[in-house]
Order: sequence, then structure tokens, then C-alpha cells
Amino acid sequence: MKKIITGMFLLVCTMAYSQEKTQNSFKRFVKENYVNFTDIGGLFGKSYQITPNAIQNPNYSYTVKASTNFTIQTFNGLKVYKNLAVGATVGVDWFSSYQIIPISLGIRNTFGDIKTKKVKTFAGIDAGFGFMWLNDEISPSNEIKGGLAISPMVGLLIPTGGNANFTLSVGYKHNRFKSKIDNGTLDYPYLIENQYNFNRMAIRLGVNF
Amino acid sequence: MKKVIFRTLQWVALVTAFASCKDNCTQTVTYRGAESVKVTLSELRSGIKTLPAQALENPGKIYVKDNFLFINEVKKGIHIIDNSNPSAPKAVSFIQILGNIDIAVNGNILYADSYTDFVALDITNPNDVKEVSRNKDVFNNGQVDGITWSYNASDQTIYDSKYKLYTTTQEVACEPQNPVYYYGGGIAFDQGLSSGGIKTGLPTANGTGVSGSTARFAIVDNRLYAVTQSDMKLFNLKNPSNPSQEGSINLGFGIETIFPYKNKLFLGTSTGVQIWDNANPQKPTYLSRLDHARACDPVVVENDIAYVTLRSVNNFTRCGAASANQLDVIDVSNPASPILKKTYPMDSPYGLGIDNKKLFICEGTGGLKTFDANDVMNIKQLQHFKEMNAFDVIPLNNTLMLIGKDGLYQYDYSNPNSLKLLSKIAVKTAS
Repeated sequence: MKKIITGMFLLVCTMAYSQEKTQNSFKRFVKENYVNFTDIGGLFGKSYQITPNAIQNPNYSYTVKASTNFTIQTFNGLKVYKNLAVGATVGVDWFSSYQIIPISLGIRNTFGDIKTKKVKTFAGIDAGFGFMWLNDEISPSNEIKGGLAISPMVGLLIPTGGNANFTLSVGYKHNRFKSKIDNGTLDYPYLIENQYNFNRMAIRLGVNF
Repeated sequence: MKKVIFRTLQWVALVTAFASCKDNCTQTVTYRGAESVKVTLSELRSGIKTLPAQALENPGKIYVKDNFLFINEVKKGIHIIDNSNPSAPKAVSFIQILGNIDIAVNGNILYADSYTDFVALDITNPNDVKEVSRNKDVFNNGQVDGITWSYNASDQTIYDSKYKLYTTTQEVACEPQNPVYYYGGGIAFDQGLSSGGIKTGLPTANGTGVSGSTARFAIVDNRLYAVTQSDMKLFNLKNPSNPSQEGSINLGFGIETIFPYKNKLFLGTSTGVQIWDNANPQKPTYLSRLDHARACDPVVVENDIAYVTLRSVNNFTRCGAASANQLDVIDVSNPASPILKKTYPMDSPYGLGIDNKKLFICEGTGGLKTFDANDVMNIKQLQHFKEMNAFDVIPLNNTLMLIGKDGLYQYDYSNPNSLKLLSKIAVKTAS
């Protein structure tokens, strides 16, 4: 009986110790491999429109408007293989009429020796879903649904002197979402469905550590 | 050095490639518009046939004569229903009449409009209906369900249109700077049939029947009054199988319904109620009018009290931009000067009917409401049926016949506090 109790006590101790050890090693792993990219930047493109007027009367057409919008995002991930980090990216893209919160799965790969004090390059991609949570002040007949958000990029890492880098990146940003406005009645249906596809060049500045 | 230039070029190429990014936004609009329909006079005048019973598709006005119920199929014809047992109505036959909206029956002769023409049909055998006479070119235009048709005499063609569901897709600005107002390329229409009040308790003596509230035909003492948008046409029915047009009286505009009461004619118009003295049936004379805000308004009268519903519509095509949805109770004991007694708020009233102080009001998609109208200053709502889309009722001998977009319902209202559903003829669902 005594033996059994002693045995169980030892077992519990071992388990507790090993658990503590795992926790510690996990914490250490996270600490050693944590990667963060936080950027602010602009989304540049053309808010395109072909008007019926332009088709019917080619002499009278609208110019295609350039459009610049603000974007922020932060990538938080862990290095999983060499210099390849995998994580999640959360951001906000402010378009004129709509604001999108893309939540994406992201990867970042830094090229070259990580320890070097020279300028390095990196590449990354975020792919996820753009949520429309910031557009809640719409009429009840209006429905808005988020959609695909995808953003590949390449950039430069410029060492600050410490462990961090400044980043300068250029990339592509695709956001899509749908809106539905139902102004009709049962007898007089009147439904407007808009499909928005934003294709933008993204230039971002930020920090990485 | 070469490497540096190559790298620089790479970046420049990348930026240039992305800089040509264009947003791409499309807008798909689904709306109900109108498609034009042309009918030539020869088509119109060869069109009357008796067909086997058919399912209801787009029911219009209803009319009751003895044991028969007539349901208009908008611009297509008339369903004849044997209603001797309201719990089990039987479809007998379908009379195909192009452009038919209104019905009235006197004896065994059914009068119907057929676009421009006024036809008389012998319905002694409902399975073999015969055209007995036709007054040609009586009506020049008309409006039903918000669609106007008109007759062009120079090419002998009737220009009509019908609803169609359109879907258009076009590229639009992704970031409109100003609010954008959308117009459906077609025509936006008011809802429902021409509004009507229900005409109830009309004597079934003289062999005439009872029409629904949206009626534009009324038979009084061997005379049929047919109101168009602007005129009242009189037909003498002395020889029932060969009615002759006796004249036409200009009434103004926006005329919607006619309701005979005692020796008066009550006209529901889009601007108010007009009362005409019919003491000389050959020549009705104008007595008075009670104006109100523009709205669709049917009128019914019982015991010197006129009940008028006003329905606001959200566009100008039919009845004007009215803002009111209400029931007006008007004292017409002195028809020369009607007095508005009280106004009750409503949701979206269409036709109404009254029988012995039991008031029934169709609320369109809001269903049917029943009221106790014993005290006109305190009309109490009794029941509200929400499941149907109702626009017209006939309460007659404790059977309430209700026509809606989804079919014909019949209720037993012998206990006004608790209506009992007797039967339903459903509209054929689009397959």
C-alpha cells in the first residue's frame, strides 16, 4: 500500500515537473521565434467606372478617378522553418465608402542571413476574409457581406541598429465584398446587388522585430 | 553595378505593374418593369371563347350572382365558379375575354369590358357562353394594376404592357462620392388593382349580382353605369341582350369606383368622394364632393354612412403622392353636404366591405381586418387575419368572399367575433 502511494506521488511529481518543463520550453520557443511586422501605408489604384453615357456617346465620358486609401496591418507569427514565419494578420483598410477588417493567415520569409546588419529582402502573403464590422450604420434594407482579402508583398528590411528593422514593402491588395439593397416590396421587387472588387497597389512602411 | 541596375529595374517593373490596378465593381439590379403588348382589333374581336375551368393566376375583381361567383383573370377573362356550397366551390369554366377587367350580371346576361369594347354574353349555359352583342370603341384607355392601356384609332391597335422581371448588370463606380439614386429602367408602378371600396348589400333583386369593391360597373334599374378614369358611360339594358350606349358624362380625372346607394351614385376618386343624384337615371346630376389628400380611395355606404379608405402609395403613377393610410367615416344623410365624422388610422387599406354594421377591410399584404361598426364614432377592430394578401371583399348573406393575390378565400361571418374559413381556391404557383 505504502509502495503504491509512494509510486503515485512520484508519478504526480514527474508529471508536474515535465509539464512545467514543456511550458517553459514552449514559452522559450515563442520568445525566440516570435516575428512581428506592423505597417501603415496606402492603397493606390483607380476607382474605375464605365458609364452608360460613355458607351452611348463616346465624346462625353468620365475620367477614371484615381483613388488612394489608407491601410494598417499587423502580422504576428512564429518562425517555423529557417526564416519562414507563419501567423495571423489583422488590419483595417479604409475605403471611401466602406471599411474592411481583413483577418488573414499570413507567411513571411526573410532572405539572407538574419543576423546581418545589411539591408535584407523579405516576401510575404496574407490571405483571409475581409469583415465589414465597421459598416454597421446602414439601413435595415441594406445588407453587406465581406469577402476574400488577399495581399502578397515583397519588401526591404532596413536594420535599425537594434534587433528591429524598418520595413518598406510594395505589394498587391485585393479586397472584395458584396452589398445588397432591397428597396422593393413583395409585388414590386427592386433589388440592387453590388459586387465590389478592389485591386490596389499597396505601399507600406513599418517595423519588424 | 549591373546587379544594382537589374535590381532597380526589377523594383520599377513591380511598382509599374501594380500601379495599373483598377477597381472593378458591378451592380446587378432586379426590378419589375413593363414590357409592351400590342393587341389588334381583329384579335380582340375574335377572342371570346369558353374554355374548360382553369387555375387562378392573377385574379382581379370578383362578382357574385346567385350561386355563381365570377372571378376576373386580369385582362384574360373570367373564371365561373359554382358557389352553391361555399365550403366546396367548384370551378365550372373559363371565358376568355381579352382585356377584361370589370364584370356585371343582369339576369342571364353578363356584361364585360374587353379593352375598347363593351360586350354582352349569354351565360345561361356556363359551359357554352355566347356573345350576344358588342358595343365597339366605347373605352379609349384604362388602367389596372398600375398599367395603363390605350387605343390608337389610326392603326386600330391597343397598346398595353405587362409586368416583367428585369435583371441588368453594369459596371459602376466603386466609390460613389454622392448618394446614388437608382431608377429602374422601366416604369415603377403603384401596387394593386385600382383601389375600390366594396359595394355590399346591393339588392340582388332585378336579377343583378353583387360586385366587389373595385367595381367600375354598376347596374341600377335597367341601366349600367361604367366609369372610366374620366367619364361615366351609361348603357340602357331595356333589351338586356343588346345594351345601347346612352351617353357619357365627364367626371374629371382619377375616377376609380362606383357605388350605387339609394338613388345616389357614390364615386370613389383619387381626390375625394363625389356624390351624384340618380333620380333621373338617364341623366345623373352632380350633387357634392368631399375632398381629401390625394390617395387611392374606395367608398361603400350603409345606413347613410359612407366608409372611405385612403391608401397612400409611394409613387405618383396612380393616385398621387398621398401620405395617409386611413378609414374615413362620412355622414351622408344630407348628400348635398357630406360631413366627415371621424378618421381611423390604417396600414395600407385596399377594398372594404360592410354588411349590417360588420365592416371588413383588406389591408393588402397585411391581410384582412374585421371591425364592429355599430358605433361609427367608435369602430372596434375584432380580428386580424395576416396570412393572405387581400384586396377585395364581398360580404353577402354571412359569407365573406375575399380575393387576394394568393387566391379566393371564403369565410362564414355569422359570428363576427370569430370568422370561420370555409374554403380557399389558391392561385396557381409559378412553376
